[in-house]
Amino acid sequence: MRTLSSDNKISRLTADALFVATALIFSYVEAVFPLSPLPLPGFRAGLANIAILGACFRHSLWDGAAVSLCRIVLQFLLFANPTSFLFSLGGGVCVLLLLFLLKRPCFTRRCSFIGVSVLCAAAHNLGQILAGCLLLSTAVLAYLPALFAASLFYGTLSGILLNLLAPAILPNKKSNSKPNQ
Amino acid sequence: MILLPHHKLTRYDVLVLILIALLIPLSGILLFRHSGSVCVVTCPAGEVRYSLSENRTFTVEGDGELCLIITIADGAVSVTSSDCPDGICVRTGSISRTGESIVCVPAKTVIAIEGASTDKGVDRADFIIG
Repeated sequence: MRTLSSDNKISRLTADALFVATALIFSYVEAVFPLSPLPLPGFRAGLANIAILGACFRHSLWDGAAVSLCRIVLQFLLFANPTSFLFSLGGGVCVLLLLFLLKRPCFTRRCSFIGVSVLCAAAHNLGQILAGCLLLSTAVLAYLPALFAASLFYGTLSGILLNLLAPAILPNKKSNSKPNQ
Repeated sequence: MILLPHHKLTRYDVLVLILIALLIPLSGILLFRHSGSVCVVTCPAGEVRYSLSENRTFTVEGDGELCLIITIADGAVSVTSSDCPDGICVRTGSISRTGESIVCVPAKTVIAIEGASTDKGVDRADFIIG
């Protein structure tokens, strides 16, 4: 890992904090509005993926993992929903596993954020269903088709948003990790 | 630093979208394939179970003296004719898989398929939420 100057560390820290705040707002919206695609309480639509992917591709997978974990813990502290906490934990772990596999040039050279988002949304929902299997019963697997349909929809939505935001979020190749303004 | 050079939709994105879209019916087919063995007819008078293995035709009297003629043939059950005003039950066609059902709202009658794997006589909750 390359060493960062103290300037870079601080800017990285603040950017990550902003990503956590954004992810938390998305979680709040998901909690308040009945956006959940499946009739399971605590199931989340996965819009916070936008912030996680932003942190992951701007900095590194470790930053993405940190932002994801902070968001899940803070979301539980704020909204106190144990099922949604465990669902989000399962979903977050699956997203990070997928991102570990996907952060390769052979993939990132070919796809834009839409492809990544859809796959991450699918992984998030799959993780939630698997957590539901462990917690509730294997009957939740009956929701698999609805899960993929939902991840298609929300993943495309997140992907379009990220494509539009990418010039602002991602660092430039030329300058010292400062994005376009 | 691995950057995404594309900020627009690429053809591989469409490939991913098609892949996920294909998974929807695939997972549906893989999950819901088991054929039922018993059909349960529930009407205001009570509940009767019929095995799907023998062909038969019978009449069920629903709520308000609406009669439904139900046929079991080739492991599937369907409502062949009904006195109800909308006739949705007849138009539902035949069902044969576990979990499928035909509902006649005016007659308050439900025909559901149960599989061989359900517990006999025990009302099992699928899962308890909350």
